[in-house]
Amino acid sequence: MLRREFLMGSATALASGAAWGKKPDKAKLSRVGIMSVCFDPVLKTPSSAPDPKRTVEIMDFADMIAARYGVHRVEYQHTDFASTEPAYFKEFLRRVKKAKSQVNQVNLEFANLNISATDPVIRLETIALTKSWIDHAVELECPRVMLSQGALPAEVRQSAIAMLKTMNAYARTKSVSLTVEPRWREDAKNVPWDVLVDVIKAGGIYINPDSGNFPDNEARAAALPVMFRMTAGSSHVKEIPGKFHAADGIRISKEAGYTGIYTIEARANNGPDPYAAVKSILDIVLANI
Amino acid sequence: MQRREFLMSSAAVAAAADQSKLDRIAVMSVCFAPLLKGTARPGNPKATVDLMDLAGMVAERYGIHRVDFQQADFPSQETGYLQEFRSKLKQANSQANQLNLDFANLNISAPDPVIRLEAIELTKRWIDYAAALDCPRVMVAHGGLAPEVRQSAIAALKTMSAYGKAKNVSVALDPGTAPWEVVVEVIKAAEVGANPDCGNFPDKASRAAALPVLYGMTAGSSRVQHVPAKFDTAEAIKIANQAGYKGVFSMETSSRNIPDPHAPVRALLDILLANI
Repeated sequence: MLRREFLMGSATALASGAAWGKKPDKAKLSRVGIMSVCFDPVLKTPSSAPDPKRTVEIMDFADMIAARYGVHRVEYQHTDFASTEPAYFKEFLRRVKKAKSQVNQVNLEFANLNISATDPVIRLETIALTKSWIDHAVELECPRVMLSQGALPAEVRQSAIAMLKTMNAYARTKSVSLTVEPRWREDAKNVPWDVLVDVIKAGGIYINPDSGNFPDNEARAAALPVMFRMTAGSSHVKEIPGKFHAADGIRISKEAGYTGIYTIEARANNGPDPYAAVKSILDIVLANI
Repeated sequence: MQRREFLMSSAAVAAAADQSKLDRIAVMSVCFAPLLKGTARPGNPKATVDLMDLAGMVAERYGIHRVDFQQADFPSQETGYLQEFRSKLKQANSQANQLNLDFANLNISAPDPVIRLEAIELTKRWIDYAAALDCPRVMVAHGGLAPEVRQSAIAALKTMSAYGKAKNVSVALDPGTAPWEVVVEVIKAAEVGANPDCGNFPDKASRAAALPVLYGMTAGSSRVQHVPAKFDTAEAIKIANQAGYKGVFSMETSSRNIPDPHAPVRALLDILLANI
């Protein structure tokens, strides 16, 4: 979409509320975030090759989300940022504030570095790099950083907990909360949700519940009520056609008394147009929270 | 060696050696890897030296007050640990001469910009740790400096160096396995220092051509090895002297498969004292 088309579309949507049929409830919108990964096909990121389909600068992302959807919380991957220099983050924050928005969470996925590392040197590198990103979260006035837990096999679980404690001690001095989300992929070694809960409790950090990341409805139904009571105020919400309905996850969260943020994570299975995919999940969230 | 013999030997070294020469000598922690707790192979009965006590041992035994450490040596990077480490160095009247950084899979030659940023981030962190230890230099791994990544590697080095300058910590580069002319070009462009290593050349011709250039662009320290079958260490030191080099010679010896890691250190120290 050209910038002109985008601006016209956004203005029209906001002026008429046509995107929703009626103007959305601001109180509900304030509990919604949107992840940058939803727009992976159209975002210009440091690692992406030049592509005419990539029309959205990462610094314009918050503005685009605010203008198009009225959502003022945005969530980034650490790989989105083109620089980690103070001047870059200062400008980034200025642009986020210009959109009257907030960075909701920065998600870390370091290559080969996570809390499940068996090599103590790698574990220390993971801690050092995480501390740097906690500092960057402070620069971005972002209250949360999400870590990657790896596979958490039994033999590394105690060292992983020790790492979480070290990272968390640092994060607390910066008023940043650390989170980990449940993950599940058919082709991966997955961490059982109850093991994850135990590690998070022992590490003294928080969970970022992700209603889409479970092998089946039974595990989801058992885990989510526990996880929605252990958050740092934010969660991920997905709609996975044929497998899982976002509305069901939201219902469970409400039954658990959750009053935090739902950050939309749309993927390719939500359709080829990322703008429409996000809109479809946003409609579900607004209708159910 | 018994403690009595060791004390006599140390006293003899200190008495015989010119302290001004000893002040220009450092020793790398890797020379003593089999003796270091945490670095030696598990179960090695000789692994009796805590990393925190290494500077004290080196000062007492050799009269040397500069030690190079590998980033991987440190079992912790917490403020309390680094403060205690610095206190032990001061107690031995010693200084951490250089921290050598070699991160797993992360270096300035990475083609992926995200990986380069991670390398920058970790290096900055270690510059902070160097500052906490009063260590004036960090050495970074260049990762090959292939032509297609050279400009981005230079940019990454410049970013690291700018951060280092703000903390009074120099960033240095060792030629390693890259062609020395390439490393010189990158060092000049990024305005960092060279860490000449007389052992890291494929042949005498390249060593003789490179060392005068590299010794003219150091951050105040260099590496010296003794590999008689490959090159003449005294000749390399002569080149440094002729280039007007006034900095530190940091000894790197192999400690693998030898009964006493002190023996090669002693041999190289004798060469240095006789030639600098």
